[in-house]
Amino acid sequence: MLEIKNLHVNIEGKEILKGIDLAIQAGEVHAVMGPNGSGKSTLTRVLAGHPSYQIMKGTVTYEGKDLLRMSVEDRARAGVFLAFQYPIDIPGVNNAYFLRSALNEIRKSRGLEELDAMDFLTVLKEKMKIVEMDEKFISRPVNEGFSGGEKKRNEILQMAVLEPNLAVLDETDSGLDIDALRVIAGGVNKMRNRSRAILLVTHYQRLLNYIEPDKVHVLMGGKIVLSGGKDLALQLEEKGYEWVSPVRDPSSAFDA
Amino acid sequence: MSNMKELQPYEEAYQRLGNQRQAEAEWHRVMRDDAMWSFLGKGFPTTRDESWKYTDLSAIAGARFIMEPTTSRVVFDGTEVPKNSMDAYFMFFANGWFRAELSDLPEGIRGMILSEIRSGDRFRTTLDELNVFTKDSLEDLNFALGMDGIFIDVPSGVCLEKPIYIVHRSDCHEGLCQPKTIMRLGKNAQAVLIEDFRGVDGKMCFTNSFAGVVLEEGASLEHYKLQHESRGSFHIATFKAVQKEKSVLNSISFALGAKLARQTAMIALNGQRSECNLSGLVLGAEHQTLDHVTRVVHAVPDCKSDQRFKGVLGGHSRGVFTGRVLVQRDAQKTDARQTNRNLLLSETARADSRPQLEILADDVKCTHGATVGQLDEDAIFYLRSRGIGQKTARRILASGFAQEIVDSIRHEKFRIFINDMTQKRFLDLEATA
Repeated sequence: MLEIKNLHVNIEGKEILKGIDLAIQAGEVHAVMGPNGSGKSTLTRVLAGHPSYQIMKGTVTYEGKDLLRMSVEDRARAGVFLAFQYPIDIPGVNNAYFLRSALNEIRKSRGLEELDAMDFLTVLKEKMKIVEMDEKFISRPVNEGFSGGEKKRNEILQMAVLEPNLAVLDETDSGLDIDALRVIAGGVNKMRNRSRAILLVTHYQRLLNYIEPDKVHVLMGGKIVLSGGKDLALQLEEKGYEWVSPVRDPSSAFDA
Repeated sequence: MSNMKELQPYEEAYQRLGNQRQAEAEWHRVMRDDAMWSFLGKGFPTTRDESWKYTDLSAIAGARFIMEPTTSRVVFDGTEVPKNSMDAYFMFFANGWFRAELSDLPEGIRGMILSEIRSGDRFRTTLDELNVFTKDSLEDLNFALGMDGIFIDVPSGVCLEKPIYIVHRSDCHEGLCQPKTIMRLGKNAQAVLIEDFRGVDGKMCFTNSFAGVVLEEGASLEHYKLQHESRGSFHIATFKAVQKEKSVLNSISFALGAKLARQTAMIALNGQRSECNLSGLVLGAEHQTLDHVTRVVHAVPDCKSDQRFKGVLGGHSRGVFTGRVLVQRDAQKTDARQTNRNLLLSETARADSRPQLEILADDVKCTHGATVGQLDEDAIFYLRSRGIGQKTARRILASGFAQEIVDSIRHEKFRIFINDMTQKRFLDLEATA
């Protein structure tokens, strides 16, 4: 479904991604792990089409199409979804209106009929159960005044409503208490299916206790330095990222 | 100072008033004469006047208007006012003339048509009480040459269940329309007053209106003003309120239309524990200049005022806000707040914001803030990443910015009416962006 080849990305002249290679098939869940500043978030934002990044080299193919040439909205309409690490507040725009606009734009682009407010509400209420969200959030402005956990739930709710083919989750576990983590992971698990690919980006292994990945990749210094099965995450948890450091220096362990 | 040639048509119009003036009560005639002399002495303000620095009236001063526009024969129907969806006491003015046959007054409420007032003590008292602020020359002009208006006298303890909805429709090309609305709310009386100024595409009119309200002890008024004149028109409106003990005024101004418009709100908090909330929304496009001026005077202790004005400006439009708050020496424990936030949708739009606070008491809480910004790029990205196109994303964000003011309308039916109107405006904006 997604194939990234030798991707080099700069922001403001600084190279962040230094040759990423990654392929995900439909039905798979991949986890990308790595220390802070390794380029994890950059990778997710580049996939979604954030305009601040310059693609220096490489290709990203999504369902046979050149993803990097598509506009932000066209990527979403083609089924790419990014759950933000820091979801944005949209004052004055209520959640239901926002989500219905988004869903209808996607439906329109696929030649489907738009949902009216009533039909949409039925869909929305059903999806809210997946992330155990209170119905009061329907009419509240998008993310405004939401707690960290509520924002993350709202991201997963959006994913549930928009039903993407490729879901990229950027640090969805950060800032969550254990109950919220369980609910959100449960929501993501309910959305796993044969035709959907999920890319989880996370700093910590604990999310992977709840969402079991098919593959784990370690991103360090802008490159994927190690890939493996789900056991790799456990090893990382135990030994730390130092263990896979591409420039491993035994003495540095003592400096830290 | 305007030159005499500019003022000549106004002087001539005044001469023509002759007989009608003779029919008016002595005090009314004197008031008219004084206003005329004052207007002729001051002339139209120019941009050299500090308070008109950003709003240039030279196009008004240089134009020749029809001083006695004909009254329109247009019958208002439900497509033009929310008559079908809203239950209200509708009153109509056409080109500044009151259309009594189309209007209805609530029962038990004394309504007087100003051109028929011969004595009117309560009317006179009300005008006297409103005479606490200095008048600018446009207000003078209204009092000198304006013929029609309505005086609404709500007795003590009366709570009007339906809003009073006044439609001012201008369709006489180059006509000068100068209506007046004077209102008195007795002790603990409650009312909703809506002023709706509208025009007809292609007809250029000059509206110079005056509205004044006296709120007795414990009275409360919701005042909504909607200005959607035709795009070539000029619109100047003065709103004055004098508030006594524990009275509450919520006044919201929506400026959508006209080529050049200014809404002035002057509020005197003269009774302890009185409260006023002024807000406004400007939606500017093309070459519109949309100006709000406020002046809130805290004359006594324990009063509250809150001003919240927002502007969404596209095209070559210009938004101007001048918010004055005066806290007099005795007005301790004053709580006065003011914000003016502007969103510029184009490189060529402009916002000028001038908070002017004058605080003479020492134990007060006064805050103000003004911002001018653009749409948040991260928010645009967020919406686009959900499949929403660039233009639509901008429209949704801009309307979200404005929504706070629309949502503050307490009267539900009118809120829906304004919401539909502003949403349509944002859709037009999206289509032309």
